[in-house]
Amino acid sequence: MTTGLEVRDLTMTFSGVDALAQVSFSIGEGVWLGLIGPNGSGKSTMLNVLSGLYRPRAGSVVMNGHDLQAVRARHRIRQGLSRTFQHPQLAASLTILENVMVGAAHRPTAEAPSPPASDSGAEWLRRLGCDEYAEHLPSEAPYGVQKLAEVARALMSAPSLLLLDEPAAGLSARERVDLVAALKEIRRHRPTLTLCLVEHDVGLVASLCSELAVLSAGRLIANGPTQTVLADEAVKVAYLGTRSTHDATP
Amino acid sequence: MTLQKDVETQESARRPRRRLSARAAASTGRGRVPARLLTLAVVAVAVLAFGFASAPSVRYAVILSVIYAIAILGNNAVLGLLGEMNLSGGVTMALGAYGFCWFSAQGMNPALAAVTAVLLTALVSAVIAIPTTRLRGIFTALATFALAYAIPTLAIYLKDITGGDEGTSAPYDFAPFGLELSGSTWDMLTTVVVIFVLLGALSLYLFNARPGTTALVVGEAELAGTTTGISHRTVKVVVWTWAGTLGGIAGVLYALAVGFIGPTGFSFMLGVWILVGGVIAGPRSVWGALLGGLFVGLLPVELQSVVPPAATGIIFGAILLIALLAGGRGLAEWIERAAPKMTELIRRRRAAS
Repeated sequence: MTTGLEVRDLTMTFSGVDALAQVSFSIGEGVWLGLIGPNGSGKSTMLNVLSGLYRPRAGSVVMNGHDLQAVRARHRIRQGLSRTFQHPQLAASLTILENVMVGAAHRPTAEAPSPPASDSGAEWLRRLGCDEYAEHLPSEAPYGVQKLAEVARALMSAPSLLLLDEPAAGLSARERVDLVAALKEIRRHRPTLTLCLVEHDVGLVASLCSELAVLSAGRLIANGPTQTVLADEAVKVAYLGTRSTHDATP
Repeated sequence: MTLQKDVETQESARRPRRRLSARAAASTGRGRVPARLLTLAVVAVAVLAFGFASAPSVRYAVILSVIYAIAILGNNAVLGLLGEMNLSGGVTMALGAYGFCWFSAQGMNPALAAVTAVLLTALVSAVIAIPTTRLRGIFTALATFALAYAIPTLAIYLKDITGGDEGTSAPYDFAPFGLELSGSTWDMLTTVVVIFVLLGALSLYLFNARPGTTALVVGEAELAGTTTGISHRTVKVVVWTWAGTLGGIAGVLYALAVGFIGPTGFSFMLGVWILVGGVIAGPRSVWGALLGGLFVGLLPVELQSVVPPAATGIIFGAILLIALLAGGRGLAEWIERAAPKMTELIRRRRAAS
């Protein structure tokens, strides 16, 4: 049984237009992969397909050896798949901590062990540096905290695969620094966690991910180790323009 | 489930107990359960005292108001938790009332007939809820509008069950525990108020416990709910069924209070008033539902004694407008937010003097 995630020939069509065209890539267990590409390249569509919100026209998604094709979106959390959204999806009437606790309702079944005591919602909020807002409503918390609360909620199900959809979008420079620190803290605490990070900020992705996959107009144009991909001419032309790799990284 | 309980137990043991701010508690309608229960009890006792002290005609209007408040309480679950507009509050009342009368007329024990009618209403509500889970916003309102609009005609058409135009009567010999449950009796008033308080307390508990949290996630962050394993369809059906159950209970009590029911009692406007009552008072306030019931059942009656009947609608509309301008979540929220400020102001003035 292969561990991690394997995407095979994934095709997603909207009104006859291919949002994803025969995209294939894989992420090994514990690997952090950055999924980058220009606007409209199919990054968020890919996350929606992986999390089951969209049903692909063709192809398959295999996670830890299980084909997710027939698994509904709400059941994928039991397979160990969890995600965040580009715009925070928090219940406005629940506190930040209550929102985080929603993620603990359905943990992976069978082989999933009981989480250690330190994996409580409050503990995750503390690790991510936003525990002071635990009892606040989302509207009372800064945007960066709302984003991190989503990450904490996703972690509450003790996932083996975490999908992050543009976690840095809309954040200030200071909040981006906090986000990177929070994500590094997650890696330190959950070294076996597989992560797929969709993000526009190539510098941020490069600082966190060991592998990159690049989408352009729904097609995968490069996939491999981060520095190799950033040096790829096709990537420079399609995504980074004519800038050098050195310019793209911080 | 066990894992969830484990985590929640760890959670409650570890985190410091802090309360929501007054503003957050008022705007969300959550938290401060003991204070809210106390408010509910005080308002209920006030309504009871007012009803006892009033003339039978006014007491009758108070009884109907509390019955409407029970329907509003149910309707508020749909409005306050899911954010959906439900105009079928009158439909579920009609089902409860007609069901109770019909089962009793078939020779069933009235108490059993009441329970059966409520269960039937809950079942029908669950069935109605299934298509509404695929609808959003105005489309849900339109679907329930069609249902509410059809009920009076349907009641006339199903003459064998409903008595058609002529209507049908409630069992006149129904006296559980020796209580005289009809018209404007004190027993009737006490019974409807006690039932409202019990259902209100249960609603408050459910709203602040896991069922309420889950429903709020579905209502306010449906995508997040789906990806965290919540079935939004199941949750919506449960909420609509709960609303229908309370509507059914209100219907049975309505039949008992009125004694004789006909299609005109369940017009389309009844569903509108139940919705408006919830909006005026605040869809997330339990005691607000009682306030909403009084607006719907008592205010028009009292207004007609001081202004021409045609003007009551205008005054009602003005009150609705003021309630919406007062904060968007109704007068109950406005009062809840204003009360601590007023108390603080009085305390300061006293200290200064």
